Parts: sequence; structure tokens; C-alpha cells
Amino acid sequence: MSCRRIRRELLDLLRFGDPSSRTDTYLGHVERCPDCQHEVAVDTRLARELRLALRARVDAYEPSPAVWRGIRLRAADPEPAREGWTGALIAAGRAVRVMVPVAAIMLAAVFSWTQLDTPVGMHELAADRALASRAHWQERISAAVVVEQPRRAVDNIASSPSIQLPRPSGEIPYAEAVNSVKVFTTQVPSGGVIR
Amino acid sequence: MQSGELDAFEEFFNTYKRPVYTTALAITRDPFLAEEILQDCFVKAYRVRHRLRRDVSPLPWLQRVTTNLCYSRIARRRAFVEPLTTLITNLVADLTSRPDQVVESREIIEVLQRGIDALPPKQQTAIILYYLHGYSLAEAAEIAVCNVGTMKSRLHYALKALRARLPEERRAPLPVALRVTER
Repeated sequence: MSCRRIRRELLDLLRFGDPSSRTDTYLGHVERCPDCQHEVAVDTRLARELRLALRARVDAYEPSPAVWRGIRLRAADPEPAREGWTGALIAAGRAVRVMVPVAAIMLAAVFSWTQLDTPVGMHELAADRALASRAHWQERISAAVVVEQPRRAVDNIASSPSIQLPRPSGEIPYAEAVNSVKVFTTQVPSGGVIR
Repeated sequence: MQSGELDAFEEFFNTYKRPVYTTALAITRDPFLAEEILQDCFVKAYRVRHRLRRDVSPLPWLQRVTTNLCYSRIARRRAFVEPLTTLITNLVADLTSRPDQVVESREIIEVLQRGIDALPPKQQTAIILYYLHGYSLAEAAEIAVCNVGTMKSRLHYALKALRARLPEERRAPLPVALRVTER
């Protein structure tokens, strides 16, 4: 077994306490090999000196009582907003976190509303009004068509007894509104029918 | 501690302030900056106190926050406190004069101090966690958010770099008998 491999395994054992099944073999080798003894000794000494150097950095110091006083003061305050791009990123993240559920709820509400059958009550009234408005415009358009037709075509216009204009209240029963769409039927010279 | 009462949090602070401060001081070598970092770390802990787990020690988390704060502060300041080197050298002289301490030369300690400062942050953290705090490989790896093999590798390269800084004549073997059980 080579010294290099033994040193690597032994250094692992010394540094990290990783005993392997061959530890005894390695130790036997080190006892006989001056080079490996030297290598292991230098590493051991380095580790010891390193601990001393690190302890020397910290042993003489203690945190002052002012640290806790500062923590008390800062803990009582709300978290300050961050500056720079980090703060902007965090703010954007928070905004997205709020906006996404709101948008989802709104989308769900709109979707479910469009999927509903026309209900009775308020929705029916709204539908009636819409139809009345549509009928009103149909009437206006049909009248315009009539105006533009030759005199002969106008003669063919048959007024319907079911013509119903919107009541002053703006409310028109549904059946009447449907009938009011069929205000005029105009026979144009080409034979087509314009509604 | 999770009750949110500052008085209860003071007990938490007193329990963990020393290891946190030690880490900050070992990395920054500036006692005042280390105190600032200690304060920042515990203010952060206070703000997330409801999320801290009760079933595990908060120390690995505190150490992780501390090392991150240290390196972000150092990167911002870009200035180490050089006069401290002299102070530390003197401290080491006092330390080596104690009868219970192994007498080591001031020069070697000084070389190692500079060597530690010159290490990349991850290797520096590894050295501090493992050799100063005495965390196990697994604990140090958890704090540094890496696996055990990576932690081992960082320590290996750190020691290699530090050893390369030793003067040739100081790489002689110890005069005392080899003790393989010493970590």
C-alpha cells in the first residue's frame, strides 16, 4: 500500500474521526514510516495551532449589554422596508401574492355568472330591457331601410298590430318585446327580405 | 419563546448569544461589527419567532443567518480592521504564557490568522464551524447548507491552503509523541 493513500486515509481519520476497517493497518505503517509520521504530525500540529488562532480571535470578547437594548428597541418597531432592487422585488412579490387570488376570484365570478341560466327576477328584467333596446334599434334600422326604398316598396309595408313602443317606464313584457322586433317586413325589388 | 414576549425572548437571546457572537467575531475580526451582526441576527429571529421550530435547536439556523450577515456586511464594507491583527498577536502571547496552554509561537499564529482571512468565505465558515465551535461534520454541513462530502472538501482545501502558508522550517513534526486520537 502506498504512503500517499495511507496518508490520505489517516488524515481523514485524524481530521474527521472517520475510522475505517484498515485503521490498524495504517497505524502499523505509520509506526514504521518516518515520512508518514512527519506528515501526520504536521497535520496534527496545524489543527492545534488553527484552534488556538481561532480562539485567540474570540476569547477576549463578550457582547455588550447594549446589544440586547438595541434588539428590544428594534423588535418593538415594525420591520423597515428594504431599499433598492431587493425591496422592489419583495414589494412586487407581495403585490402578486395579493393580486393573483383576487384576479382568480374575479375570473371565477365572471365565469360562473356567464354560465348561469337566466334567472327570474332581476336578471329577467335586465334581459327584457335589453330586448326592448334591441327592438328599438331594429325598428329604427327598419324604418331607415324603408325610407331608402322606392315608393313602391314602401307600399308593401304592412304594419303589425303588435307594434309596441317602450312604455314610459322603460319596461316591456318579453312577448311584446319579441313581437316588436318584427315591426316591418320590407319586400325589396330584388325579391329579398330585409328584416 | 413563541409567545412573542420580549422578556421570554431575552432568555432565548442569553442562551444563544455567545456562539452567534463568536462566529461573527471569528469571521469579521471586528468586535463592534460582530455586535451589530449579533443584533441583526436576533432581531431577525424575533420577527420570525412564530416560524421557528420548537422540536429542533435554533442554533444551526442562527449560525446560518450569522454567516450570511457577516459575508454580506464584509462585502459591503470591503475593509478588514487591520490593527486587530496586532491586538490578536498580543492576545496570543498572553494565551501562550498560560501554563495550561501549549506554547506556540506568535509567528505561526499570526501566519494562520492571515491565512484564515485569505480563505474563500465558504472555507472560512467551514474552518470556524468545525475547528472553533467544534460542530460535527454533519452539523457544520447543515449550517452551511451543503452535504457532508462538500464540507469535508472545504475543510481539506482550507487546511491545504493554511499549511502552504507555514514556513518550511515550521513544518517539522511535533516533538511530542504522535496521538492519533486527537482531533
